[in-house]
Amino acid sequence: MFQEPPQSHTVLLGEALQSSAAQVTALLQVAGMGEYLAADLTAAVLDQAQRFASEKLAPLRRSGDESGCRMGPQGVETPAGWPQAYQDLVSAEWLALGFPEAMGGQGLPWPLACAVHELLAKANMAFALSGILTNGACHLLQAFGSPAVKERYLPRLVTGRWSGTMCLTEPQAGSDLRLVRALVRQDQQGNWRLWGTKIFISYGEHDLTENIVHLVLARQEGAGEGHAGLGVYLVPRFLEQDQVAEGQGSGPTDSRKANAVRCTRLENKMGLHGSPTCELLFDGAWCIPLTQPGDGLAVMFSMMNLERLLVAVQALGVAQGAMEQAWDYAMTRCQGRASHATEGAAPIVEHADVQRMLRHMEILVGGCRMLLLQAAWMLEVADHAPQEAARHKARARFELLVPVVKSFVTDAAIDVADTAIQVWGGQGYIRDNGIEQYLRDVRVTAIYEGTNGIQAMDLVRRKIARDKGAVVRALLDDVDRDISTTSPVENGIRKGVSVLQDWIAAMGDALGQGKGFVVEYCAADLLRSLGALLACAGWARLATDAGAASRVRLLANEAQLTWIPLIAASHERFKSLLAQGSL
Amino acid sequence: MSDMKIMVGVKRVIDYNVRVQVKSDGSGVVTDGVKMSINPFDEIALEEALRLKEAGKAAEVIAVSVGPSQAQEQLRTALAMGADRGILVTTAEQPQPLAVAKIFAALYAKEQPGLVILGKQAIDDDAGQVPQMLAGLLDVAQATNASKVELEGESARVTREIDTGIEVIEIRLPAVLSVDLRLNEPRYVKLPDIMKAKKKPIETIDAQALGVERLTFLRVIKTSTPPARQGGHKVGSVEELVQELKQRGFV
Repeated sequence: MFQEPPQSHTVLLGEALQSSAAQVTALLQVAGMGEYLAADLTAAVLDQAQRFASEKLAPLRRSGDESGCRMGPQGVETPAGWPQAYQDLVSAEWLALGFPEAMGGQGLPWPLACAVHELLAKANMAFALSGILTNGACHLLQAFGSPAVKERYLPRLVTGRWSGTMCLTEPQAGSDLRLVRALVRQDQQGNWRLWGTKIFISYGEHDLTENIVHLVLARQEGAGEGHAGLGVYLVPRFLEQDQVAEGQGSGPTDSRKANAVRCTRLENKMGLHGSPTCELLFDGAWCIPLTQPGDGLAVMFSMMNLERLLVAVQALGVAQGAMEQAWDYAMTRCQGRASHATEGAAPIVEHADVQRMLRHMEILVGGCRMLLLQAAWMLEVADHAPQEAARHKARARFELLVPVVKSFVTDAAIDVADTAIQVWGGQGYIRDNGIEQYLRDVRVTAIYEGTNGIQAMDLVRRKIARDKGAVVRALLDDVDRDISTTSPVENGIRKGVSVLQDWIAAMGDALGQGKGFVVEYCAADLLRSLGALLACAGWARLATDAGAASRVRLLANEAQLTWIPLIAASHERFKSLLAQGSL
Repeated sequence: MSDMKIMVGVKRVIDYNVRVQVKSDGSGVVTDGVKMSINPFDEIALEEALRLKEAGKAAEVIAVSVGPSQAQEQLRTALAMGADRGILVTTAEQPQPLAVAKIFAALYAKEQPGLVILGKQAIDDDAGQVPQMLAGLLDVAQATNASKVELEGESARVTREIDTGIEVIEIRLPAVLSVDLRLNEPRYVKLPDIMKAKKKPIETIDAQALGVERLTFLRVIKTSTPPARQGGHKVGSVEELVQELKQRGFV
């Protein structure tokens, strides 16, 4: 028997939000997170965001991919129709959703903000990326900006009226940011100025907003090598009236009082063509120091945590879009006779192998959504729970989950986008049909904001080794306890928990015995295994809550059939390689 | 007429994007876990009411829904679009058009609106009866299938889309309008307006309290999917076609 297509996206999001709230409540044993979600409010937010995304942004997805961005006389120009769509996005205030009301936001929970970003990314990932970067910049300024900086910049950034960037990468400094050379020093008047070239800066220059706020990782002259000299500096693209006197004297100045920063090159990429990826030249740009020298990397990483979560959200949105297109095609394309049908060509959805692919996508997308929302709720608890202990615990969990969510979800999304092409067959390979664009667009999510390999190192070296696995073991214990009390499908998860507990213990020993290389060699496996286990637990929770939906129980079960043996096999490989002693 | 109230109907229906499925026992269609939305024609009705208010031609827009308690969700959306308050009339079962018309008539007596604007039909049952029945019950003027509405003092000039083209009529207020697809394009809702809508009042009334006891007048015998389309074939000549039509008893 073949299955009907999944529920509409907003229904799935609504269910996952409720379900993940209940899950995190149980895992952390804190007061009900569900109270943060008023059902009718959630539905209204999702419905309206979905309408906006599908009617205003989705029609620009293909055209933006074909036309890309270009250098115009006034700087970088985004594809036709994007500036207007961006104005509409700003005026509807979708970007302000998760920020406190005092900052000009709406104070809604982060998981709901993630759901909205997912809808926007599904409609048009290249477009929606601008808002994600601005969200990250707000997060950094909120945590580390001086009162004056916050007052000036946050109200404009929170709604997206101005946009934000993060400028880290340089040609010689990619994953290793200690090699950053961008230089800051004071001029004769005592103003701070910044020199250097940054590459791969998404939305580094564009025509969507009247100003851009660059957050730049740079080295203060004489402050030392490595991470010691690095700080974060705020560089506005255009100076305001009161900044002009200080800012002038270097670089070009036009009627809008341009600061000395400009795009010198637009990258020609595999996908994400609508998003301008810029090489930026800072030529003595006027800037505001946000940190002391030496604090730069730590501060950037605080912004990076939210960014990494949102990268996973983007990837999930694209995966959902690809999955929907695959279902639509499978329901209408008629080829061959299905084994259980009698006459005429059947819609390909009725073929077992097509069902396999559709279900594969659905298991990945649904499991990833629960994993991701679990992390988002942790962030919410970390920010807002009344009890200090709960905030602390949730913060540690969130930080543990960030690399897992980022890598697991983006890898899965690439798989889903690839599978959608397969469902479409030859038509999927045809550019005009817009299916292969999902894969080209989403591919970068495994690379930017820290490659998935870097995430795996972050997981084993920083998030697990540093506290000798205390946080991860506690998480696994909680999953075990939660699953045994609530879920009808528990056996596989229980096994997965015990495998991972063994793995983490053995990993600690191996690090102590100087076998770090084997640990790191298997780090991606460990990360994927942890992600898969949590995705299984997410499905089990959905199956518990959904009550009547037999489809969800079926998928929850199949998720375990798929993933638990993989976890066990990955662990076996790790053990064998350890026993072998060298690689 | 600037102190005029406008009453708008907002029906909770299966979202127009959903592939509707018939229940296996034929007793109706599947609604469990299915995405529900405001009937698209009702959104247009509401948009028109809001534009009239924004043009200073009305003072208050009241959104009314008749149905289950979950219809609150659709009323909240109506409030987020800009309606001033909501009324939810709850019923024990799905009411049929005459019952809905009677409920609106009872609310009309209570609220005394100058205009009642309704969608010309709901996309779930496509009955298309409530506006006309309501105008009849109230004995007021009606203009159906409106594609343009202009208020002038105590009357309204309404452009209607009819089978033979376009008709422009003038009616005296108070009146019932039913709106067609091309009247306007409903606005996009802004996030802050969704938040503000949380604080707007929704009054819940039971249909019985409005004196409407009987909700159904027709019995649904069976709901089924349309029969699958039969494959066609080409015929070689007119003679063959006539022959075939005769064979099948069509001529």
